[in-house]
Formats: sequence, structure tokens, C-alpha cells
Amino acid sequence: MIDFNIIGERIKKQRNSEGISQKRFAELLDEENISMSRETISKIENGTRAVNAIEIDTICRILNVSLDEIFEDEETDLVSLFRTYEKNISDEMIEEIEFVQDFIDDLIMQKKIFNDEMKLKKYDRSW
Amino acid sequence: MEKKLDFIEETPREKEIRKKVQNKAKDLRIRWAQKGLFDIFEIIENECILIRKPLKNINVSGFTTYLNDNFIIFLNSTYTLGHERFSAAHELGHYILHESKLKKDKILFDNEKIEYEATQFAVELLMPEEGVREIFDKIVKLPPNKIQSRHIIRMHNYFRVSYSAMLKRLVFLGLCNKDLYNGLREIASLENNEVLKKLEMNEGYDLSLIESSNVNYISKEYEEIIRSNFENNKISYKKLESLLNFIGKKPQDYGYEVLEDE
Repeated sequence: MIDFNIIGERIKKQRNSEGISQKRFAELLDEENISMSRETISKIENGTRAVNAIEIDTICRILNVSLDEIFEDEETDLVSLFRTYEKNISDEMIEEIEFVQDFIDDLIMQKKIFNDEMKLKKYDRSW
Repeated sequence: MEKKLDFIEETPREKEIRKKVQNKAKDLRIRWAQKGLFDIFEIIENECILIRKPLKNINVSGFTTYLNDNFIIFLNSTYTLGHERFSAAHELGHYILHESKLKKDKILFDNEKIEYEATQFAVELLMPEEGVREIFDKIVKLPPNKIQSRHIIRMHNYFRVSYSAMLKRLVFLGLCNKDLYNGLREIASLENNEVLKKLEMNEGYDLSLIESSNVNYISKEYEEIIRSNFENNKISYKKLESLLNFIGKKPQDYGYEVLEDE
């Protein structure tokens, strides 16, 4: 689930990677007719102040990031985790990470089946 | 090329970290030894889900991740066994020392402080000072300026770590003169691999620690779970086959009959 904490974190991360300070960010927002203090930006980034639709649209434009990227569900698969940290990731490497990921999913599923946490149809033995 | 010996000089902060991880490593060793487990891989597979697999394209020795409420330690067995055992202890260090951060971030990358902590944990777990000094006294018993590669070889085979990890530890503990470090380190370089192999054999050791293990392995618990799911008709033969394939095994290896169709 997406929440203001995650949105704030993503805004902060993007702002930093664009090399814009909170103060400069406030100035840029002001140029777009959104008046916001440095403190307010800080609160947004910490997830303690909500952002409205107009604000988020402008924020995304200034920070060169799409709304989708800000709102996308938190990924917890290995490939996206590796991507976050390693920009130059080769296709072969992704393939291997996916392979490991699938196997981990399988193992966790097997344990659930073992503990009867998974309800299986009588003849469905595809797991 | 001259290697800097900055691992010898610890900052006060690093000293503090060492003390902390030293105790954690000691606690862990005692806890598992009481249950009869001493091997690093055995300890990991009982703490987390352990997966060892040779992966050619992933240029990492290993990683720890938290997925679906499970801690998973993955080790790349294309590296030498000595290297892999150290990576194992390093990853276990992350699990022991950085559990809550792992839960939050799912995987840990590029954080100098926590990497340092995990590495020192590995050093203290695999080569505790007391043990190293005692064994050194038993099988080497020479002044620090008289240490030769053969002594490093004897020691690293004893503690089942890589040659270079052992050398570093001996220099750090003052058992080997730091002026000898660069010369002794040369032997462990990639170009000198054949030289090292020859020296190891001369000392009467097999080469397992300095060659890739290429092991395919998962925690015993999970291997048993897969088998028992199959035996209790909870999964198909096909599924069993594909799961076992990951660890390089076939249903026949466990005495199951071949089932073509279901």
C-alpha cells in the first residue's frame, strides 16, 4: 500500500538526485505559483503533511519524475531491489536474479503448503 | 602495487564496533555449539533460508534479503569455498546485526558502516583472536618476522578461510610482521593462482578452499518440506522435479519412481 511516507521518501530521493536543495525547491515551486515554505517541504518529505493533487503534479514536473513513479506500489521483488541500487545491471544478471526470485517464492509457497496454510483443491496438484 | 595496510590502524569508532560485533559473534558461536552445530553453513540454514548456487552473471558474493516475512541468505558458489565461507559469515552478520534495517529496506547495499560491521563480525566469527593465537602457537610458533607463505597456508586451512583473509588476520593480530604483508599477499593474487595451488599441495592440503565449490544447496528443512509435500500428494511429480532441478537433483536421487504423466 502506498502512503504519504512512501510518497515523501520518493520526493526527497528524487529531489536529492536532481541536486535541488529544499530552499531552492521552495523557490521553484513559488515560480509555479505554489507557495510552500522549506519547513512544509520537510514535512511532506517526512510524510507528516499531505500533498494535494495540484501540488503533486507541480512537484513531479519540477523534479522530472512521472506521477506513476511516485505512486507505484512498493516493489519487493529482488529484481527491482537490485535495480534501485545498481544502475548498470545486465540482462543476463536480471535473468539470474529472476531465477533466484522464482525459486525463493516457490520455497516459501512449499512451506505454506506443508503447514496447510494453503488451501488446495483436491485434484489441483499444480503446486 | 603497494597495498595500504589501513586495516591495522583502527579508529576509536572502529574499535568500538569491533568490541560490539566480537560479543555478538561469541554469543552466536556458543548458542549454536550448545546445539551441536559448528559449521557456518549449518548455522545459517537454521537461522534463515540458505541458498547456495553458482551464478555466473551476478557479480556479488552473496546477499541477504527479507521477502514475504522470511530472511533469505543467498551465496554465490562460483567463488572459492574459502571466500564463500567468509561471505556466509558476513551475510549472517547482517542478519544478526541489522535485522530491523533489513526488514525495512529488504536488502542492504553500499552502506559503508554496516558493511564494515558485517565484515568485522565475519572476522570475529571465523577467526576469533583467542583461537587464532592458540593454533598459531601450536602449528607455527615463530616470531612475526619469520612468517612465510607456508605458515599462512597451514593457518588458513585450519580455520577454513581464504589465504588472504587469514594473512590479514595474522597481520592485524601482530602475529605476522606488517612489512611482510605485500610480499605474502602477492601469492594469493589471480596471476599466482597456480603457484598457490602448488604450495597448498606441497603442504598436503586438498584445493577445496581455493577452488569454486559450485555447490547447489538449500536449507535441509526446505529439502525435507519439498519431499514431504510430494509424499503427501500435495504437489505433483512435475513440481517436485522442477524444484529439485534447482539444487541439481532428480526425484530418482531420493528413490522416487519416474512418473511420466499424471
